[in-house]
Amino acid sequence: MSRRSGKSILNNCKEDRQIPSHEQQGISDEQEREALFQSLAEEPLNQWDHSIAPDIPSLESISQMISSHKEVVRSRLWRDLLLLWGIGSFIITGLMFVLYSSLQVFLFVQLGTLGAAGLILLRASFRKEGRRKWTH
Amino acid sequence: MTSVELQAEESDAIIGQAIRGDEQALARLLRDHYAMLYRYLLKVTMNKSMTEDLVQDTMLRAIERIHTFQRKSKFSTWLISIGTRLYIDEMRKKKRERQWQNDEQALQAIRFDAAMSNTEWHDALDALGKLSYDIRLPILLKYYYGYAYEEIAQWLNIPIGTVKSRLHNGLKQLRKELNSDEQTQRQVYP
Repeated sequence: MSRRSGKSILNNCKEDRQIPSHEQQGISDEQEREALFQSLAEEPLNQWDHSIAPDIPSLESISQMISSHKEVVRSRLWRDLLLLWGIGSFIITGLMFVLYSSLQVFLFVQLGTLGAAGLILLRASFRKEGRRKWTH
Repeated sequence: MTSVELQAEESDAIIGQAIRGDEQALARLLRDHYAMLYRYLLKVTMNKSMTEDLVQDTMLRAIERIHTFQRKSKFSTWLISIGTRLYIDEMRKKKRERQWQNDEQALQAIRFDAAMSNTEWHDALDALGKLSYDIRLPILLKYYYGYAYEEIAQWLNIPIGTVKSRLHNGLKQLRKELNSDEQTQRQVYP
């Protein structure tokens, strides 16, 4: 959190203030907006915030929620894994069948798949926006 | 060592245990941050039932991802970032948006709760409630919670310039809304 970080920067700049630079202008605008928010809504929000009293669940119920959710995630993972293995074995069986039937078709399918994978990877590398990280 | 330092060290140890897979430590962490998360989401959504759903979803997501928490920020900040992203996802899903369209009713329920706890309901809160979610969110994150532009831009998945313009326009809208409320009051009670 960098609350009120603009203030110290502004104090350091106080001595040479005759001609405000763009940066100083930006900081004073920010301070102005912060002051405006304080005058408009900070106190009502503080009062409301203090009055909110949620029903906090007990330690036992949260522990139970954690255990059951971990169980759900684990079973979901196994389901996805089994699905993946199923699809994988289906594809491999199909490819083996194609390989024994015609080598040319097999090579064509292989090259086509590689090309498509390359294209998808290339597109994904351009689409950086929207990628989300949960690792703070 | 002061009590604050001791507390910080203790909470650091609990976070470490939770990351390593200790369910009891994670449960304690989530319970300790429950009220903070609830208050944040209620202010952001202005909708009690949506807040309850989002708090639950945030906790479930935190359980799934706790091993990825790298302690670069506070645990509370991490939870807020998860909650914020889940809220944005909810609002972007058109179906859910329609489901939560009954904003005025939701706001009335919150007003009722505030009245029950003898808390004065200011016009500023109504004005905040009238702002659209994508403007209210950066205003609260920046000016109430004090997060940096970079963090807000990352969580909202928008450029920093857009965050700044939303803040600028949002505050202007807030002031306009409050001024018009004041004028209406003056006309009713001269």
